[in-house]
Amino acid sequence: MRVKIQPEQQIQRINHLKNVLKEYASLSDELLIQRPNEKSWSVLEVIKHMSIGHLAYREKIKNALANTEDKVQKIDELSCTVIPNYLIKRFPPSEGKIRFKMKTTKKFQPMIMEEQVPSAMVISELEECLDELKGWVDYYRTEPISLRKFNSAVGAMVRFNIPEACEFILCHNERHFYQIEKILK
Amino acid sequence: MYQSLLKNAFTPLNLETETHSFFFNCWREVEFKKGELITEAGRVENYFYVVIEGVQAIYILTPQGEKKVIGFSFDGSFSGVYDSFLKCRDSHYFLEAITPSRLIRIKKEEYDQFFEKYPEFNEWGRIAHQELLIGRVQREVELITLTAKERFDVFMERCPDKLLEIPQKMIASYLNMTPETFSRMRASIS
Repeated sequence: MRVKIQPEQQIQRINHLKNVLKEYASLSDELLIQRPNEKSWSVLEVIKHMSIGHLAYREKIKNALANTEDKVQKIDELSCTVIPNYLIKRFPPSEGKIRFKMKTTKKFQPMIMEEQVPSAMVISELEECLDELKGWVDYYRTEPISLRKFNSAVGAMVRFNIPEACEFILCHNERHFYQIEKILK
Repeated sequence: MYQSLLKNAFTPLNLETETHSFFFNCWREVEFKKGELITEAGRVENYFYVVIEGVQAIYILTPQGEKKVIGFSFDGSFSGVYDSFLKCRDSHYFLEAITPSRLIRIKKEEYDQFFEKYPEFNEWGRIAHQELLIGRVQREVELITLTAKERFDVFMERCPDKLLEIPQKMIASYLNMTPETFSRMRASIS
């Protein structure tokens, strides 16, 4: 079965992440920068990684939204195409486990000096990213957009249209919010 | 401004321009484009609305993303996600402008102040909540006990003309039937 992209559902999921992020903002810096083990990221590093992931799509999505040449329609519901569908389906954790773990390439590594970057700044950066993501979704639920594909952040091997890219970012975030919950436990 | 609209909406209160100046001065007009979300699921409803014109739908999403319409608001009626507004907690519902809409609204603090400043608002509140409760129970009973055809007939009998202008799939969802069934029944009476 293909993943169905439904804008209102995406907005609801983004709002949920925003509410959870607000809760993380009230945690102590000590807890936020604590790594569960040497190989794992801290909560703050996971948060930074999500912002990096989002920023890798910012210009691509903005350019695609600005494409007014081949507008199609506003999106009520859209089925993912084959390769995005394959990738997106791998994101949700199953039976409490994060499946299909991937090695993070250097480009997406969260390089933060905890003592130099205030945690509030890292958190508010992701908050802004989530707001921007919601703005994109809200745009294509009310305005016609082009469904022409563009290269994903990992290159031409995977190509997304705008709703697929937003769903990918959202699923990626949901996976990492789940990771944060596990770190905090 | 909006005095006649507010007097009608807040019947049976006897609202006077001078004694209720605070009440009349709190309301602010807002406009929403067709399809714009007035309130989102996952956000707190900060306002209580009265509709000047337009139709709005309140709906919830199933886990599969299907919209289930719970109710409508339209010219002269109250609007907003009331439980979220009262409890200051995240809404489970979306409120969407189905047609271009103009509404007036107040904030929660102002709504609460009406009850403090004007004791007669408690009587209005008692009656309004009674009617709200009775209306919800009646709808629940209709959904459980009536056939699709009976639900359609009841709706057509009492629905304002304004609601017939909105997409059929929204009315069909409100009546808990498929758009095709709704369309067939509507065709049979026209």
